[in-house]
Amino acid sequence: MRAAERFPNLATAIVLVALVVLPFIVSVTLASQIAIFATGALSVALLLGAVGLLSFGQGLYLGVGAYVCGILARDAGMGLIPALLMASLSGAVLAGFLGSVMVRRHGVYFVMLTLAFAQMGYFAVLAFKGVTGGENGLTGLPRQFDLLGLSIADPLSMYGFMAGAFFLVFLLVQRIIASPFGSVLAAIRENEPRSEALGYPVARYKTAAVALAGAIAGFAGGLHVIFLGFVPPSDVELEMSQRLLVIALIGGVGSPAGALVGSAFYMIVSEALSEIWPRWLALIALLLIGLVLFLPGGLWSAGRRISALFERNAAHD
Amino acid sequence: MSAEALGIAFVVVVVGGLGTLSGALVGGILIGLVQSIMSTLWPEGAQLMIYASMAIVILVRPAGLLGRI
Repeated sequence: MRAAERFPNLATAIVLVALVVLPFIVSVTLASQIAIFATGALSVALLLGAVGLLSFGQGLYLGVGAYVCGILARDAGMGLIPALLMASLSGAVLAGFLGSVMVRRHGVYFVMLTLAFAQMGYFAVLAFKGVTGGENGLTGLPRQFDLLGLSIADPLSMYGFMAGAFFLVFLLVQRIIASPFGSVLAAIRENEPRSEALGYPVARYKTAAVALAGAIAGFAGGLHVIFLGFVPPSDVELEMSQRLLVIALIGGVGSPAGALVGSAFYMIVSEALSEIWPRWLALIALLLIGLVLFLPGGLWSAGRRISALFERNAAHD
Repeated sequence: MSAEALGIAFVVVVVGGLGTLSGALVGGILIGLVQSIMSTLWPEGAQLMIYASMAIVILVRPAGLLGRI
């Protein structure tokens, strides 16, 4: 078992520096997208990394957060912060409710339930056209949002907001993993029957983790809506769940910093590849296979491996 | 289309029971019935009900209708 993560650690500093440097390396719009999907991938990283629960349905909570944020901003005239809070609250409530049902099943049946609920959510969005706009998405949102009286319309301040939001969620996830609550989650991941025997209410802990991940995904959905200015139905599609999962796996779920690495890699590579070849997703699939075979800890673990190698060499000298 | 057929096939197998041949038959008939009945009652919700029946089956009988637990 891994030693308990300290907080804040080196990863916190690296992520902070990366967020500052990012807009100078890639275009600012792409950098905003990287921050948004990294936030979404954090929910997968929390579930898979801390509790060991594989979810094919995080796109559902992201989509619900997106629709709630969009509808509240359009019809109730809510501001940026309240709409985002309501988006994460709706994600948490839905995930908490579905989670309390899902945690009764283990292993592959849990995964299938997440998939079934995610598909139900997608077809529900299509079925209730009056509320969600169906396949056209939700349009007619305010053209720009204000943060405490300051406009975040231009790309750079938009990126600043997205990066700040990601960093907040990142700190939260790090804090959760380092907390006593996180230790119990790690115990459940390592040996569920034993944690149960020790007297921990495993089902309740798992439900709480699912609800937390739902809140993070809903928050990311709200960010996506603010960035796009409308709600695309693709936010709630199965493809979104898969994308979040792929991003988290590429980056590595062992550390929350992997979400940012994975998101940056995925977005930059897809941007570069989609100009060369329209079927670029096939290349991402190949890459994922290679990664699982040769670097199962994800890209973030590569740094740890290299530093371990250096330490071993230093010990030899 | 291919993705849609794949999804329905997956649901049929899960509902009938993984690893049972007769389960695939039963699941196929059941899901086909759900789809055609719902298509007349509430066409937009037909797909929704297919996945809802899959969720219900996993919750009530995780091994599927004909699977052994």
